[in-house]
Amino acid sequence: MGIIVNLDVMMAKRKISLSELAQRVGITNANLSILKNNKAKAIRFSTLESICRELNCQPGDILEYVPDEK
Amino acid sequence: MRYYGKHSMAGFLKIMLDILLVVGLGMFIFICKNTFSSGDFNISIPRKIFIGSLFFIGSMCLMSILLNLRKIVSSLIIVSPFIKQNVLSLRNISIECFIIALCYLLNFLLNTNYGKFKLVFIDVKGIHTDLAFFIFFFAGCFILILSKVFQQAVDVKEENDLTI
Repeated sequence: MGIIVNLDVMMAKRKISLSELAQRVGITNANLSILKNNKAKAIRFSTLESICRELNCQPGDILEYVPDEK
Repeated sequence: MRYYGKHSMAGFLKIMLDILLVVGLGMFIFICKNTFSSGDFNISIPRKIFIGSLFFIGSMCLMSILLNLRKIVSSLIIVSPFIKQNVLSLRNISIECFIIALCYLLNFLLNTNYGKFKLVFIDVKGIHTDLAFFIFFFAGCFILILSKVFQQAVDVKEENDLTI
């Protein structure tokens, strides 16, 4: 599993849409969607900082580590 | 001078490859018709079949190389060279180079004038070489390595594209 992005959970708590968050953070809807759907390979600190600022949360609220099942 | 994108050297090269494809196909049909179907080619039937097969396989490989090069150049025109398709094209070109090298080797072995093998020689008609086998073999090796390098570039690009 690895790193899980719980962006949709935080977005629902703050009642903010994908397009509005993407506009505030300064990335495209497509990129934010990639992040939300766990398709991203990496995230820049600057992007993580912007998301945490706009959602008023900590990185741990968005990112979760789940060990791989062997 | 622009090397890739629209109205660049890549665009010019694509036009040249299109012309080469048409001319090559025409020459292949012309040679087949004039050489193998005429009565002037006085060799035994099995040998004729063998030479004809080598010529056919070599020509088809050359056509395929031109088609694959055309695909690669098309991706350069749209400025997107690091794609999976180009990795496959380069790999196919290297395989076809090896096949052509094999055709040259079999042609050399069939023609038993081993004593007349010359690396480079000059006569009244100009400069000639019997090194065609080595040229295609080393080209195949280099292009195979290039396909692996391209594969790495595709992986790095994908990683970069999926970095938010």
